[in-house]
Amino acid sequence: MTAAVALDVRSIHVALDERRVLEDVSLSVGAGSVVGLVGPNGAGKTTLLRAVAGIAPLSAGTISVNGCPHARLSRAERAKMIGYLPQDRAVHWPLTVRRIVELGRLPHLEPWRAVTAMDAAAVRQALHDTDILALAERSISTLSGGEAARVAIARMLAGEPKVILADEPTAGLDPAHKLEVLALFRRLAGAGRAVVTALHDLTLAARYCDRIVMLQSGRMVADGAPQDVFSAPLLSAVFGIDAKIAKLADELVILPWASRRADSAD
Amino acid sequence: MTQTLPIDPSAPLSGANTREVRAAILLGALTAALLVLIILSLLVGRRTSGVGGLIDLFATDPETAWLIFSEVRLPRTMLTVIVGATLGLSGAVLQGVLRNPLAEPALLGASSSAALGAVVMFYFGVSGAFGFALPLGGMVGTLAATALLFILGGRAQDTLTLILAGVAINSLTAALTSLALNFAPSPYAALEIVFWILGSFADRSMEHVWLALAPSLVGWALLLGLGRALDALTLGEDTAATLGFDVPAVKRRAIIGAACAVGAAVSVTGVISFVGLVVPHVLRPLVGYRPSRLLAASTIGGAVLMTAADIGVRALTATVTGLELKVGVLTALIGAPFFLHLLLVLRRAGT
Repeated sequence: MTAAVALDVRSIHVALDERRVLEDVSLSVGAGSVVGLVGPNGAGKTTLLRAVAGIAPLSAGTISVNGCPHARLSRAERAKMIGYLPQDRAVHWPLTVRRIVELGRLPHLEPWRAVTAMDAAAVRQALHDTDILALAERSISTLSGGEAARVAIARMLAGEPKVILADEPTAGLDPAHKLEVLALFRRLAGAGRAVVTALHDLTLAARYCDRIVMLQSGRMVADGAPQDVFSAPLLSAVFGIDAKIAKLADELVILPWASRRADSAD
Repeated sequence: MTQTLPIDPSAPLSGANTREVRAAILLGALTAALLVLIILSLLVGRRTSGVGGLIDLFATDPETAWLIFSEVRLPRTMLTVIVGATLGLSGAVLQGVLRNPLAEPALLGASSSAALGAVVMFYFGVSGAFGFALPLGGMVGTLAATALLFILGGRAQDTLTLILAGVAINSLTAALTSLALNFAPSPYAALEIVFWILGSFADRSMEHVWLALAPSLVGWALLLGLGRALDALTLGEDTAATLGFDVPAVKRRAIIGAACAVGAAVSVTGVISFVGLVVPHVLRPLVGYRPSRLLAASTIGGAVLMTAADIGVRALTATVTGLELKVGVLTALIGAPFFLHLLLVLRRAGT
């Protein structure tokens, strides 16, 4: 699927409290692809996702979604197009799972109108895709951390966004659900969505992403196919680790083996 | 392709329907309770005996009966409904915006600043010269405090900063009110100030009702439209922003709406605490914890509690205390233990 460019980030700069968090980052994501965002803590992965979601203000550069500059889209239009899964999945009142997922439909609701059959169908689909249909009427306060994480993903999917921004969607999930969530992202990309997801598990990133974007201290240091980006020298330079890289069943396996921070002593 | 489910519209919609029905039953029950209390409030009082007293009086002395009804009971009842609705609604909105079940309208300083404005009018004797100086002073006080709150809150209107700014405003107004009491021209003036602050619906006229009504309606209109934004804020400010809401604007609207309505209420009745804390908290589980559903329920619920409390005050005054018991004192007496109970429950829940 060689689809149109869904997301175009052009040399953006972001500063928080006068500290430069992102410098000159450019990124173009086509509909149909899954881009993995990797980098050590504090590299700027979350800030990049927040900037694209429209939460972190840019100090320079432009972002366009489906060919439309960010700044020219209204808040509501942007909300319909972009789905954002933040790292913080706190739900402040103990709503039922279905009602939380329904909140994902807020950008689509007409003023003062209730949820329509179409909204209900999207909610049901999202509950099914994240394997929480059985939990629909449970209160969020009674769920395990992993179940609650899937509720957050379902909430984001219920909005049927064209561009999906996920900040560590697999954090807190058991192995089966980790694989299922990333496989789901692949299927969604196959259906024409664009997915950008920050991941800490490099093996999963290599396996499920078409492209890997690597950040270090707010700068982009690599952008390419997983087998090109995940090289021992680059992992050593960016993450400060000695990594064992192997191929298992034709897939790249990256095993962080030793931290080099101890002997580099900085 | 994503596997598409066979569309089964009955499953989620039937759930939705029972929810709608339950919500309608709750609102219906609250409205019915309010209507009964309004009728009771109109019938019961110092100048007539029992529930049938006023009706009997209409038979024997219709002129006096009408006077009592239109000049005493009607404004008093209307004010309890307006003030109760304001406190219930503002409490529900502020708890939603600040995502804190312990928030109430007084938290951000709207009540204490209105009280200070009124006290200043007392102090300089303006209230004696001009009857409506008191409520007008209260509204000016609230406006000033709200402006100060915005300046302190800065551009982001960060939640913690807002709460701390509210604490600062509350202590500043308390200090200035104490100063006014300290230098009160006579013990009688000091007593009058204290009694007024306690909060009461006694001896209010229709003019008070009209004065409170306009800013209250403006406030309600601003607050009632916030339902969906509050639902979105359940997921935190970042997520609410990506769902299409301008979060700082939502906060400003909530603060201005609450200031209009609460400022108007406190300006004509004095400070009535805990209604805005208790009502949303009690009703929240009954609406499935949805902030948007809580607004209408809490508005009517506030009016129910306030009207019931005022009837209670009149009954207690007639039978037990003799001297007039202020309704603000009664709500505080009931509210403080409730607040403690709430803290214990929240501690047990580990939040």
